[in-house]
Amino acid sequence: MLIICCPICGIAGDEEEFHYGGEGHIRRPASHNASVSDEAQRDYLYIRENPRGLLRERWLHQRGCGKWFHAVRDTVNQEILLVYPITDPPADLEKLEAERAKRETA
Amino acid sequence: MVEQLKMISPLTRSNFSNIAKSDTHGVHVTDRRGLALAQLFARPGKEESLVRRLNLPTQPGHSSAHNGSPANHLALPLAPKQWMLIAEGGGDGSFSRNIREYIGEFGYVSEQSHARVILRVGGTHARELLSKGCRLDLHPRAMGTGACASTTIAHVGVLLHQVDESPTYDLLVYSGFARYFWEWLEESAAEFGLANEVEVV
Repeated sequence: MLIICCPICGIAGDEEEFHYGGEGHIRRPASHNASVSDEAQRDYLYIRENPRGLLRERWLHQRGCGKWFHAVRDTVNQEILLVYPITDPPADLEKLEAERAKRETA
Repeated sequence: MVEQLKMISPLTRSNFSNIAKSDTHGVHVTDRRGLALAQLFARPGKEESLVRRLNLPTQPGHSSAHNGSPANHLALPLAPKQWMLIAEGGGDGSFSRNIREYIGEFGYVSEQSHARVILRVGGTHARELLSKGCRLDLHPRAMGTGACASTTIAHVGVLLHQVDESPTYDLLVYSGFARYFWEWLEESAAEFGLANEVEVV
């Protein structure tokens, strides 16, 4: 069971209070624009990173403040390294990885 | 002729008032009836004006009291730009009407007095009891007087507010779930000994 800290209300709640929103920072190609290729549309709909390691993803604090936010989760050990607002640019995963390595050696 | 609607607690028809009283009890539950509740939303761009006007808390997770116009109330932050106001008196809708007039264009008000049941849970085992259904960290190191959070207890959406250090909690439960919630509370509190009462404000 994950304990997630909502960056908006600052409350560390149980996973059950939250709703998973899949991979974050996926941009919708302008689908009304005929020049968007089928490949771009396919990638938007179906192609996900599915990494072994850090993943930026979206969560909804459904039973709390009701707001969406981003989190960086390690898919190997379920550690949540960072939570940040939904409007922020993608988190720097290499930097987070380096910081974690530093913490672990310290 | 307009018939005046009476405020009836959803717990009226449950066994709330007929449980056996014991002298030694670890948990004490009070059904606080007649309080006024109003949900408040800031209009886009008017948050600061609204906060100043009603002395609202801006830090999430912490309540604050307001003494003055239009009425004394307690404000619990629900989400960014959203608060729940609790006041003694005015549960007939007059409190939210007054708030609405007082804030003018700064925000919106939604009357909630009948929509929630307020249960005050106290006693030596109150924290232990709530921990059975609540996943938040209720330990004093994480939560003190004035802390509040929207969460789920026994799968029911609850707005939790810590009233004092003893600890005492106020739980705002959706009226439709109040009977189920009370039944859960009663069963969960059985091992500590339970006393209860109705308080009409």
